[in-house]
Amino acid sequence: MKLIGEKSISTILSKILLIGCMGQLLYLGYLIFGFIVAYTNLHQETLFFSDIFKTGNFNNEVDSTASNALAFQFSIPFSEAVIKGNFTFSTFTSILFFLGFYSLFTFYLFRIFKGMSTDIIFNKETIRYLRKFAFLNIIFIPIYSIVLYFIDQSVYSIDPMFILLHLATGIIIIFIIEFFKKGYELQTQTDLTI
Amino acid sequence: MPIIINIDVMLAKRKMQSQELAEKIGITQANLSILKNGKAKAIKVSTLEAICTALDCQPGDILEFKP
Repeated sequence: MKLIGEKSISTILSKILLIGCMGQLLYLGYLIFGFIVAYTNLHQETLFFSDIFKTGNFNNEVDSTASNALAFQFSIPFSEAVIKGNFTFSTFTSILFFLGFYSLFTFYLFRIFKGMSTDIIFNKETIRYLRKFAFLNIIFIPIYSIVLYFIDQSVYSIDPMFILLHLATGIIIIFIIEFFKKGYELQTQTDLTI
Repeated sequence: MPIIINIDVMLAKRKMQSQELAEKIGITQANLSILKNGKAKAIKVSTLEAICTALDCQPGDILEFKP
């Protein structure tokens, strides 16, 4: 099976990535909704979906990092699984940041592989999404450091390998963009040779 | 571009339609239009040969250099 072009591995990968992206967005949406409902129930003393989105002290059911921290426990529909954590703003921020980032990461990858699934591989659309993907990987580093610093109030929780991985990805993609630009230029010249 | 392609002039002289020329030389009308409008980046020798045969002319009748 060929790597690029129509009905290739790129086509399969783009479809997997699209499903992955939609799954992450759905998960993110569900968590945001859960946090909003749990917050409303807690402060307005209402009981909307209280059996699904629980908050409270679950007596060691939740691995809490902060002592006496209020915990949350969200049930995942159609499964026995639950999402647990401390019901704090920093938990919400980190979920929003990481899931948001990786949703976008998967979406850009989907668009890149979709662009590679066409007969004309060197196209402006792929270059545009490669540029966005490189920018996302590079911009991730300062945002990740800032978010993690504000969550933990310490620089020790910032994983240098994680930073290096995204930085390397970003730099490699910048070089790939140049190859694609050259390919696009040659493609245009070939197309305009009558 | 200082190279002018005078296909339109030759077509008028030979009283030939663009579509007819495109069919004779075996290129699409869209590509012939690119050629006529001077948007082409390059022209193949085989295309030039086909145009000259179809229009019964010399390459110099089609290509003109205007610095």
